[in-house]
Amino acid sequence: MMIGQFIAAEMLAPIWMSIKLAAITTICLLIFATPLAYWLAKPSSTMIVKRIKVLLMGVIAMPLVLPPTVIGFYLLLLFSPNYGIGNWLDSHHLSALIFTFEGLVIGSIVYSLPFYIQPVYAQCARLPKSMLEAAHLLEPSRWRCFWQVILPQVKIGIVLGSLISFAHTIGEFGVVLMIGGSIPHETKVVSIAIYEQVEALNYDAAHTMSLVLIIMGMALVALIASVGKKGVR
Amino acid sequence: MTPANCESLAAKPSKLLMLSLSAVAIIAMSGCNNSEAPSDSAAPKTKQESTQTPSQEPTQDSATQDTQATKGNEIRIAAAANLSDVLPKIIDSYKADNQIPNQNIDVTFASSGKLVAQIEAGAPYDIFLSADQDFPAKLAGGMLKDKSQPFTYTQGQLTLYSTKHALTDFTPESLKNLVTEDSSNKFTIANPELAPYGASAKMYLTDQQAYDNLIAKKQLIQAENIGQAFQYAHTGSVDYGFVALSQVKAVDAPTDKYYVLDQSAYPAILQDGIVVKNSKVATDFTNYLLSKKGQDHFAQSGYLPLK
Repeated sequence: MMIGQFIAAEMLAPIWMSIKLAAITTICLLIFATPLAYWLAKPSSTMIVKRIKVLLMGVIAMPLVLPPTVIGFYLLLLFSPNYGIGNWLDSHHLSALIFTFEGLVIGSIVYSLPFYIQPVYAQCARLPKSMLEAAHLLEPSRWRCFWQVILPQVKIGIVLGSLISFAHTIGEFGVVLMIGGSIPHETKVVSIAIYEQVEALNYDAAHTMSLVLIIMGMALVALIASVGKKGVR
Repeated sequence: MTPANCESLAAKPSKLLMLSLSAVAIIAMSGCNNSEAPSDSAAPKTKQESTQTPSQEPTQDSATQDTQATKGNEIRIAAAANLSDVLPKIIDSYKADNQIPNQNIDVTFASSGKLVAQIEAGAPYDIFLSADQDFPAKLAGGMLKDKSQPFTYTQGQLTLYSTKHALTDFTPESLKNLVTEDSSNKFTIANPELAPYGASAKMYLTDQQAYDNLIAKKQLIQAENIGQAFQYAHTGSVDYGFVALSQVKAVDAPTDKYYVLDQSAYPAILQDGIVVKNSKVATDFTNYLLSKKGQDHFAQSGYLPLK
């Protein structure tokens, strides 16, 4: 049992890291990506704005088709002290983003952005234009309009997007492999830990951690399915 | 896909036909590209049967070619990541010396531990060149028992490398101070469980009582293999990296950027290999590795001569 307890403690840390990463990423997406999704779905007046929105949707959807290693590779270059943001951070003596939890959060936000935006965008697009116009007429404050009229109606989309991006971030591997550095209690998430255990032929540990993930995955999928059903009228 | 999309596809059979034809074409093209090998060898790889002349098949296996999935005399080498620069050169000179430019020798570079796991799971490699002696010994005691013996082909040198700080006039003392002092320097080593150079680096750090400290302060980055460790050090993502001298030499780094550790500071990195699937070419190539010509290549690339 002693060994069992030791192994359990070793495996709890990466599982907790993954949950923490997924939760913080989802919260950031909730705060920043919801208004973005709404703006993208809103019907716009000028052609230029329409084209910009289409272009932006395309750029946001890139992580859907790119292998995660491509995202990880360019983030690695971006954060590296020789060019890009890493260079700026280094010259201002701020801590680098590479090999840190914060860097992983940024990578996960990029990686899971389309998975959050698409359900919310779909829900926002369903809002009837007449309702939007009536709301703008009756409530002059754009903020209160968004907060009290739009948001409750896209609640289902937001919940769905959060669940999907949470599940997706738990499974993140390629990006973390590139920019994580596998630091225990900082960037060693459970997908990396399982990979390392398999490589080292410690199949017991790999089985256990995978089982935890499978159970978590099934729970999330069941939640997503039940919320999705509620959304269909 | 919404119902509207499905209906529009069904209503236009020519559109569906075009889509399926292009999908089949794409799959066929990607299937053709799969015969490309992940090796750095300069020799052409995807040769068709018709262009091979009889004189370029020196093996007696030509009669039984159909027993193997690939052409009869192609061999695959599983090599430790630190050989990524010296092995292609040795392969080229092997082909040149024996006048067999069409001999296919494919190489896969990864950490030695990962390669052993793959070989034990049945990966189709002919030769395994590890970065230590334990992994080939494991195969020799296990699945290759009584079939094959490990051979030592070279000895590696652990090196400290940095593109951010100068390492002029470095001594064992300055290295010890570097790893034990209180600083924000980030170090990288290859995963000690899978990469022998990483294991040696970890042993050095443990001897200086620096390993646990660096781990606790989150200053030790564990790279997947020695190749990734070198990449972290080379791009300046970390301050210092424990890498192989062969990698430093491959990029012609100036002498103030690296410091070769004293051989007494860490357990000797004797690199063993083992033939996994015997064939004439595999034995030939192994002999070439151990011959003077092969050993010269190793010496030029920063390895130590075999005693």
